[in-house]
Amino acid sequence: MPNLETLLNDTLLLTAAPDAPWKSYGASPGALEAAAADPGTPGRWNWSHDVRKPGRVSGVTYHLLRTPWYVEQTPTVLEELLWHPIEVGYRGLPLTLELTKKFLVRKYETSRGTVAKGQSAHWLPAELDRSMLLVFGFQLNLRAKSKTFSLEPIPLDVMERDDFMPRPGAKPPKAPVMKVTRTETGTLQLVPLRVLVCAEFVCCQESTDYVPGAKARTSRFRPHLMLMSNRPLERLAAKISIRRPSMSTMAHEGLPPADDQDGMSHMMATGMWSDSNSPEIAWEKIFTVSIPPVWSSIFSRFKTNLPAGAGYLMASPDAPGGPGFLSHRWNDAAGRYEQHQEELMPGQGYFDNIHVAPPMRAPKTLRDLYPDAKLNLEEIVMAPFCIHDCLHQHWRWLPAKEKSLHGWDEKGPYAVPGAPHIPLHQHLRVEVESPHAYAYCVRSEQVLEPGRWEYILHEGLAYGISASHDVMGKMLLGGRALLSPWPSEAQASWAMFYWVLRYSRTRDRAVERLLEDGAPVP
Amino acid sequence: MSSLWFNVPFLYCRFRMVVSHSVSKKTENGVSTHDAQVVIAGAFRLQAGHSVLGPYFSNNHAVFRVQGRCVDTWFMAQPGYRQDVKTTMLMSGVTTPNVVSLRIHPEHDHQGVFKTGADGRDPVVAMQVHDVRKIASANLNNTEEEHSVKEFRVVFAMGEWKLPEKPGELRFDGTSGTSLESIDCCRLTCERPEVSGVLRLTPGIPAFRIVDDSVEQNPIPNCRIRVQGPDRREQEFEADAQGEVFIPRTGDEVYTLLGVVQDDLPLAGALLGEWTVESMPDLP
Repeated sequence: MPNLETLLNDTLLLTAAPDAPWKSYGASPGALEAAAADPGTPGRWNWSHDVRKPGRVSGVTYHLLRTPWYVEQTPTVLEELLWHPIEVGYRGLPLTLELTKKFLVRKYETSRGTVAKGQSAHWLPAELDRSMLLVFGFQLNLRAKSKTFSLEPIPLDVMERDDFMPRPGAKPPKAPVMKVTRTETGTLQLVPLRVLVCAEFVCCQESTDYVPGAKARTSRFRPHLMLMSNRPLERLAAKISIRRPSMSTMAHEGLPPADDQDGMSHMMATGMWSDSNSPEIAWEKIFTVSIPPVWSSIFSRFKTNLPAGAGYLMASPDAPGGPGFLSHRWNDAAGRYEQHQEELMPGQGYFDNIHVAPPMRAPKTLRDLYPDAKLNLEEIVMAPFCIHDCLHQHWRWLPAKEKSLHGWDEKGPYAVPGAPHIPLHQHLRVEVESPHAYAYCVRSEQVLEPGRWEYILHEGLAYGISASHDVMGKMLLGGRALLSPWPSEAQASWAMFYWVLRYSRTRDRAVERLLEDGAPVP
Repeated sequence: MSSLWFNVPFLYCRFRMVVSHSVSKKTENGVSTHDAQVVIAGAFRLQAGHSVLGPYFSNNHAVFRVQGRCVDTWFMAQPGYRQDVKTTMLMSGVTTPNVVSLRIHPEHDHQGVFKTGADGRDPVVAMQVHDVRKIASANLNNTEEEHSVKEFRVVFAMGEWKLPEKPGELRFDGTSGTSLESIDCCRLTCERPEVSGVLRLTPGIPAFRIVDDSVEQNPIPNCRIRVQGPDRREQEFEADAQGEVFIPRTGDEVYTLLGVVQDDLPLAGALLGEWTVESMPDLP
């Protein structure tokens, strides 16, 4: 049966950096670090974390190197990330696990680490950048007054014992025969409900495994929670807020020729998309000169400029899959929308991903040329790839070839093409807090087995870095053909490339290639 | 010299010492750490052996259960050179029988001295010691390991301990007395061990104690238990504030703890953990 050390080996940080130093907190007043926690050499990622408010990470930045599209700089990726209190149910009792310093047991930090290929079933191969692991321990206070309950930190010595948590599937040990004679005293120990929570903020170096076909470079970051208890939990609800700054801090200054043509609107906006599950849509086919990735071919549903308060069920064990909603795709030749019934995967919900990024703007010459037209040139949303300052989160991908894009089966992640990237029993709801922030909300009504990790936000997020020049070149070339009716400035414009992926042009009007969710069907 | 303690023939003692600390010191070129987690527990009778010097209670064959570890690490690093030393000390077992005594000085405000050992002998238990030394430099990469068995001494003395003039149940902890020593494998500057215990007048020893499973064994107060008596009749008892249940026992009867009543919070759903029995045989 495992002790704390053994259990923590399952975390991403300690899988990648098993010797990472840690600092001890909690019940033992004199406790100090086993070795000074030292984040080491600074990497590309940076952030602030204060153990007095351990459930919050703030000021997350990423150091971008120069690309053809922007200068070297360090934009703000997140203003803050909040791990809200976790709600669990135990024998009908609602318990709130607050990630506060009172319950903080350890904090690990590292600036490097490696998950090798094939090393872990739960974690993708990765090179770590600056990363952190927080360990919290909660237990029911058995000494509380009768008919009341309260939580207290788990004593450090308990966590060191080999029976700290049961093995998954293990039956509770049989009660011993407890007899005493006149000269004996029998001592019975009672073991309270215990919950161990790990909050990781693991940042990875750039890789190409976040999108199909390795077409773009992103840096993953994984602010997930892992939770384990020694008794069955009936219910779980967790919420993580992901908040970008309201204005992008990215600068394009001094970059010919993109900046004066492809200005960006620095105000952040949030959009959500669903991938088409159609088998003929393979991402390797869309990076060709002749077939650009227009939205009607790769997406089945989308919504841009989401307002605060919008919320959707994104994955659920109650979603059966099969024939789903109707989408409306524009047929240029016929000059009208055609209706399609989208095929859904089991568990698939309303949208598959969220992107929070500043939209682009068409070159000024074009905007001046069509001042009154309904062409939507002032605010152009980037998709399917983002050329600047985009935070991505995908909780499902289309059925792709790459295992890293496969979803969960009952045993774990990276197993089923097209399946959601969350445990099968979890319901995921994403709620927009503001145009630049959202909350990732998970609940489960299934009994959580003692001794088994429950993962929350296992899929992580990514910050877009760049696409390869080759890929971008092909995409731009592919888009040029569609932009041929436009003045020549449009054909060298990234903003207009994104515009044409979304819109078709009918005289002086932009027509959605895929009708936006909720829009009236013309 | 007079004291009501002269009239007490036996004392029942339960003793518990917990050492739990972790310290780290940075030096210019390295770090040293020291981490200790040790529990020393014992339950025994102290038999009166009063003298003209005052009331005196002792047990020449008291034993303690010891469980724990102490880990010391040290490393020193300079450009191109690093040295690591790690010593792991594990102790687990029962000490050699030895003397535990309580002497009371009625003429000095009933101050007492409670201690282990006598005549230069201390209770000891085997301690497994594992040393690992590593040296790494540009032209040397060497690791040496050594295993040995040493003695871990259970030595403590509580002085300046004010006892009440009227004998009765007496609970004690680290605030009751002074002069507690650090344990055998700790540094002199380390935190003092936490001591707790109880002295009772015979014959009242609890039949059952209900505690949590932490190293401190915190008592679960006022919990209800189901007990089967020698007549096979089932009865319910409630533990006192110290988690102890007393059942008047006079003969060779056996009482069986059937379980803890768990119909209410906070005990509902708690698991039954380890069960241990301490024996307190009648002294001759």
